[in-house]
Parts: sequence; structure tokens; C-alpha cells
Amino acid sequence: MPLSFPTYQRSLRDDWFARFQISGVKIPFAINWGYMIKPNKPDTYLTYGLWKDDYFKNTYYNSPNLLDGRSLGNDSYVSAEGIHLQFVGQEGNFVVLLRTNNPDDILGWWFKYGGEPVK
Amino acid sequence: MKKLTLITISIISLAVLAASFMACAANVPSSPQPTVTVKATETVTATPAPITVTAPAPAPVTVTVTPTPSPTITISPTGVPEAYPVEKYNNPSFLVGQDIIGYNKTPQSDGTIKQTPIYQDVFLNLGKWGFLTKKDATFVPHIPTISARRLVR
Repeated sequence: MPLSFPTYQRSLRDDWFARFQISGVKIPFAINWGYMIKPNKPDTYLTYGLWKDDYFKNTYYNSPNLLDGRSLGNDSYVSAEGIHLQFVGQEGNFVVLLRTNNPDDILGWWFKYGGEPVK
Repeated sequence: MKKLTLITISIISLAVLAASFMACAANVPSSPQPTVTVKATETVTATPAPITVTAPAPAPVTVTVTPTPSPTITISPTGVPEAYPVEKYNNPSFLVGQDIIGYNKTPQSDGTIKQTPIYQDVFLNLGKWGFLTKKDATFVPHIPTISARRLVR
């Protein structure tokens, strides 16, 4: 009986992620993020996700595909300048996950968070 | 004449004397010939002749001119930024919503009017707590996934 080894297909996607922490602020706080993709790249995409840090750590390295459908909140809309808006109704430790199928086509992206300070 | 006669007599006398000496030498018993070794030491001091170097005549210089290709001018497509201007957004101005500022009214074939809202982004200055770009993030190329697990036998 030969030995069996599980193998894992490599994903064609690449990720950026960054962690940040929110506490002692007025809820909800706002997130804006934007991106720019090279022109004439219709097959390139970039998706955004916001996750609680604990869930991200427990999920990302085991079953990263689960992160595709369980983001906190949703993007409201996309403006002409490629800016996304999200309001987050809780504080804590978060992870922003940007996922693309071709990082070479991503000219850049940015992400900022803020809100009304607690008086 | 008298002097010549005297010289002739002298020569004849020497000849007779030599003949007598040879006759006496022939009667003497022979003795071994001595071995004579001559050692000579000669010191030779050589003085080098001055060396004269004659440089060859310089070869004629040939200049070859190769035409260089004309510079290639690359024109970037207009409207494509060299780098994504993240500085433009690193400020407390936040997109917080959209307002409907009007409607596009389009008459339809059935006589009705279709109204399409016109949106305008609303920006508001908030306290900015953080700003990140992909330079600040961790890049993970080609994440693994378990959705395509299979067994190799």
C-alpha cells in the first residue's frame, strides 16, 4: 500500500494584508480605500475585505477561500475615482485584505480609516 | 766587395758549426721528453655594450566612425500616471456618501418619462487615524488553498 500525500493546488491570487486597531473612538468609524489598475486590463481585479483579526488568523492560513464571502460590511458604491466607502460598527483589531489575480497590473492602492473623535 | 765576402764567410762558418753540433747531438743517448703543463688563468672583464632601443614607428591611426542609432523616444500614453498618487488621498477628507442632485429624464416610446438619478459624492473632513498603502502591507503571493485538495498515490 503506497503512502498517500495530500497536495494543495496553488491559488492564482495574490494578497496584501495589513492590521490595525481601533479603540476609544466614536462608532461607526469610516473606511475609505481606493485603487488604480493599469489601463486596458479588463481581466485584472482587486477585491477588498475587512476582517476581525482573530477570525483572520484562524482562517487565512487554513482555508483562505472562506475569507471571500464573510467580510465585515459591504462596499457602498464605487465613485468615479475608484474610492470605496465602508462604515464599521464595532471596534477592535482588524485586518484589511486586498486580493488580486495580477499584482503587476495594480498601480497602487490606499486605505485610510477615521471618524468623529470621542468628545 | 770586401764586406760581401766577409758575410759569406760568416754564413759558411755558422753552417759548419751547426753541422758539427748536430753530429755531436746524434751521438748523445736519448732521454725521456719532459711533460710541461701550462696553467693559465685569464680574467676577462666584459663591459656590456650600451643597449639602444629603437621604438618602432607608430602605426598609423585609423579612425572608424560607426553611426550610432538614433535615440528612441518612448512616449507614454497620456493620462497614465507614473505612480499611483497616494498622497492625494492622505488627508482627513473622507467619502461618506452620495447625494442625488437631480434626475436625467428620458422620454420613452410609450409616452412615459424615465428618470435616472444623478449622484454626487459627499466628502467630509473626519479625524484621520490611519493611512496605509501596499508598501505598508504584507504581500503574500499565490496563497495556498485547500479547496482543490487531492491525494497523490
